[in-house]
Amino acid sequence: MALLQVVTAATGDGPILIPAPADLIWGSVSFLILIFLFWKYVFPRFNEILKERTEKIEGGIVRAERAQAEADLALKKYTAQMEEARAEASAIRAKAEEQRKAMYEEAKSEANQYKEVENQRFQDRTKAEISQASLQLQKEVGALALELASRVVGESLKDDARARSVIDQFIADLENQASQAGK
Amino acid sequence: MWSIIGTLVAGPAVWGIAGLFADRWLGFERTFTAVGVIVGFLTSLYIVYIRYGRG
Amino acid sequence: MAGAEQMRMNTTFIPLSGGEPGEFTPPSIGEFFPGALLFEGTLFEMSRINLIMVLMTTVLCVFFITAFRRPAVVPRGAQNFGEMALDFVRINIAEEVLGHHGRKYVVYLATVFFMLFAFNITSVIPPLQIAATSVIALPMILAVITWLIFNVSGVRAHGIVHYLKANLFPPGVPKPIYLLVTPIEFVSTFLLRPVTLTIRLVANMMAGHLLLVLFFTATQFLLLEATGVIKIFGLASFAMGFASTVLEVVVSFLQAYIFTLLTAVYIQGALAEEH
Repeated sequence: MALLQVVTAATGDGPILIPAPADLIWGSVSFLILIFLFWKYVFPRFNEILKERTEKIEGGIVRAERAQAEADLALKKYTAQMEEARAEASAIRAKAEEQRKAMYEEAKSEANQYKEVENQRFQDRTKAEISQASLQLQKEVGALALELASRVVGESLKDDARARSVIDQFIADLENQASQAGK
Repeated sequence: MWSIIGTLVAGPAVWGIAGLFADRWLGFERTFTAVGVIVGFLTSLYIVYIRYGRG
Repeated sequence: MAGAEQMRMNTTFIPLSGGEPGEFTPPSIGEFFPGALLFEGTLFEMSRINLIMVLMTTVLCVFFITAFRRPAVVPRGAQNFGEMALDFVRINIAEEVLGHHGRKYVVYLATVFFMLFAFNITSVIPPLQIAATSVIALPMILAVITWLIFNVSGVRAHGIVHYLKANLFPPGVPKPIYLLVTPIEFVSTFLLRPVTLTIRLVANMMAGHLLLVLFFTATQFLLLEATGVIKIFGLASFAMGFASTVLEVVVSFLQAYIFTLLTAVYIQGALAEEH
């Protein structure tokens, strides 16, 4: 009782500290509705969203890690392939070089061979031409000699068998001289 | 912070009111009320020291 | 109902419009004992304050139901705003004060915070003009529930004997001194806490309301009834009223925050091992 007196004296107005029944009822109803709202509706949904968000972020991290691993693997594979290709290229290059050399050698030896053959052939032909020419020359020189002798003798020696043998003798001598001079 | 203020208010209030009753009962004017307020205040200082001051 | 009710509400809501012309009536404490508007004479009779309570409860329900009707992982609009508000309570009050215990109490803390803020802010919303928390009932209800929650939490955590002993008999005190200490501890922990929670909130909202009504009543009186130079004081009064309105918005938030924070602090104190 004394306490109430003190409180009343302090505030000067009693009822301000005494709640009206209607205010209590409507206040409680409001409170119950709101706590029910937060308890059964807002927080379950809010927590669900927070959980989902955390999972998304964690999932993202896992995915990123996986992508990184995949990229690393691809890079390794690519590097290996590059290395292989390079080795292969250099092998091909070496082989090509070898082939080129072989072909060059072959061509060279072929050319040499051809040259020799040509040379031989040329020499042969030259010899043949020379001998032919010399034969021709003998014939013509014989004829010339005969004619000269005829002119000198003053008669035809054409049909004379003896003359013929003389000429042959002469030509043989010429030949001998020539071959001796050639030596 | 608020509980320190609470204690400092409660000390004089509790023992002051106790003193008020004592005055009424024993027929004094304000002697016990004053003693109560002072004792209560000192005690509340002591409580604040015990609870928060020694840490 | 709506038309006639609206008329009566208006005359009750803005007391200055009902005053006699040419006469300045300062705001009185009677503002906080509003007459009944609905269901008069029954236990459920509704005053202006009760209508505000129901209205703001509806507003909160509509807002949060809209915000979380189709919750998306990437929030936008109402959901974004709702999440920011909830996170304020969840992180800055519940987790900050209670740590891992915060999860258990966050529903109550959020209810208290949003309810008080919504009921406080009506003091500056034009047709309402008074905080639903400027009558003692609602702060008292919440203070009692807070009191129940922190005590029940303490008893469940430590058992009733240990809990009372830790609160009423601080260790390291000579035995006879307990005779002086224990009554003070009892009053400050078990009586004063709910009382100060209630009084702090009600007094703040009452004072804010009286300040606003005073300045705007004075503005109206000075601008309409006064002559000459005195009208200038009307403008000054209006400026003060505007400043008080801004202040009242801050106070509305702050008082909701303090009430919620103290609730969390009391629960934390009850749960903690050492007192």
